[in-house]
Amino acid sequence: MHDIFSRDPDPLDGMLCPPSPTDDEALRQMVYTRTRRVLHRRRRLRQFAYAAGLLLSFAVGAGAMRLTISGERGRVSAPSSQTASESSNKPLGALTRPRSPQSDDSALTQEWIAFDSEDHRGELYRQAGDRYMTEENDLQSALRCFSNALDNGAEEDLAISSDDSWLLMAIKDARQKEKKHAKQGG
Amino acid sequence: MRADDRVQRERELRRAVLAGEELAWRMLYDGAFAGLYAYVLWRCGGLRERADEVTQETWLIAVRRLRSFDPSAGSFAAWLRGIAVNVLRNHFRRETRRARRTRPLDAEPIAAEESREQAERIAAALAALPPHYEAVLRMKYLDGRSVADIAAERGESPKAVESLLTRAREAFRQEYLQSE
Repeated sequence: MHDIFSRDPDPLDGMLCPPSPTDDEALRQMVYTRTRRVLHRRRRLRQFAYAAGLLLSFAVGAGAMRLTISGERGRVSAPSSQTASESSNKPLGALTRPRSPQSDDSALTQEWIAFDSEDHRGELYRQAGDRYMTEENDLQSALRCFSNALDNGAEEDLAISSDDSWLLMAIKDARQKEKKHAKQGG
Repeated sequence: MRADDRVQRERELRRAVLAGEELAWRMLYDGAFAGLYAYVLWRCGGLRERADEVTQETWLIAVRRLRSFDPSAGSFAAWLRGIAVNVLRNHFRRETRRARRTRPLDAEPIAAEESREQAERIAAALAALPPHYEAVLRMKYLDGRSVADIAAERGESPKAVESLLTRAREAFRQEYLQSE
């Protein structure tokens, strides 16, 4: 191929030709180290943002749970604080009376038994809550029962036990914190 | 390497670097360092100190702005060259302002001073060229490519490339002489 620049001597060729190569290893290493620092800083920032995001979502979750618990307690624990005879002619909100407590052996029946009972009410609610969780996977009802169980139980029932389900543990933990905050606040 | 393979490879490396993979950065860096340095040195008329500074600044900008690198729009090397051109332009402006304001008290030996002056003028002339002239001179002189090769890449005839080279060289000559 004809190439005019390969055979045309001109001082411009000398100016435009690349300078002779040098050993740029020191520069290469130095610049690499600096760019790596930028990468590290960016990674640390990302990790920090991730941790902050986790913390935020945990706080939002805890807040939502607290709201749910206090809402449920407001709805369901009101009748449970009354005697069965007093509450029998009042609406129960989320609960509706089942077919017949004696006719089947469901978690709902167990809850009604707890509701109607005078003694060991807390324990019966707890059992109902466990059954909602294990047999029916109904977390909403289990939450209601556990809340009632704690409302009707003694103060020492708030202590977390290894027999507790994760939901009950979470409710107990929230209650303990609530109590602690109330004490600190007033 | 085919263009698709290059795009795919650079896209993966970019993604990995943005995810914090240091090794991916090392690969990009090692693959492009020598080419970028040679280009910057050429654009600096052989002034190594300036080339070192510009190269360093270019890489630091590149690592900070890697998110804006789009492999489908051009190669990593071309993207780096684009950054380097901007850095060079800024350097050149700063140097010009400084030269107007001050004159060095400890003058260099005459030969060294002349050589430096010539390098400055080459750098200034290259910086003043329109991008298409600069690109064709780079392919010819820095990359050492033949007219036929350049023509194939640009999708033009060898005659058109020869003509473009002639005009680019003439523009360079004019810029060089004007800076006298």
